[in-house]
Amino acid sequence: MSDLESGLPQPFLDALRCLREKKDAEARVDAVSDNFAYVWMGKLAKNNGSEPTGGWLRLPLAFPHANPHGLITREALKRAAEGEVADAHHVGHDMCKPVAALGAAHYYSWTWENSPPPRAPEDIMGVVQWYERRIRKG
Amino acid sequence: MATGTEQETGKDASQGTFVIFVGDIQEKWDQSTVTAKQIMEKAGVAEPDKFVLEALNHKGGDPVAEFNSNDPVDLSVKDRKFFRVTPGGGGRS
Repeated sequence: MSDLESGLPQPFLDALRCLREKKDAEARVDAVSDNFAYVWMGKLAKNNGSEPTGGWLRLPLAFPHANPHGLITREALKRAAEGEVADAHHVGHDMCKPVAALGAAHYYSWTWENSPPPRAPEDIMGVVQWYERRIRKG
Repeated sequence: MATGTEQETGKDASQGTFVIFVGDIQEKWDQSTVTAKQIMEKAGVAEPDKFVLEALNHKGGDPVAEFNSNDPVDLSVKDRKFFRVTPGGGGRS
């Protein structure tokens, strides 16, 4: 566990452990800012096999008692057919700054509005699926 | 939509039922068409209207179709054996 992760709340750490066990063993917290953690997931599914893999899920430190908000990537997300994902896409947004040194440049300001609230750390798996669905729907 | 083989669908010829999986949860259905809500409820989802049912190309695979709660799901066609439940909704700021 990194120094960055050692200070995080236990439910969040439980979610991170679940994520590593079930989806991406290399998932890690790269930054914490404004009570949100930037969780790098190299295995986040995208639409096009030629796209660079990975992205940062912006998860509240209070997860699962608070909702995810936003996705950050190095490259603009592509649609399955052609073009780029345009849904709430911001290039060079301030929200990228905590991981800008790692190449973050694109912010998708997706909110959990009208989605079922997470209730347990294990719900992180549904959160990842939710992100992947939003990427697919573009 | 193409009709799938028994391996691709959940059709169990010996019993005349459709055997499907929602995550690791096995379900058996006598009829070929049920709603996504029925499938999710049987899997223990308390509020199926807030979720979508995603059909996968294999167990733990990629989604190939999605169904809202009231959508009918034809279990006799290809890629209707393995499913997962994903939170629906979502907005933007």
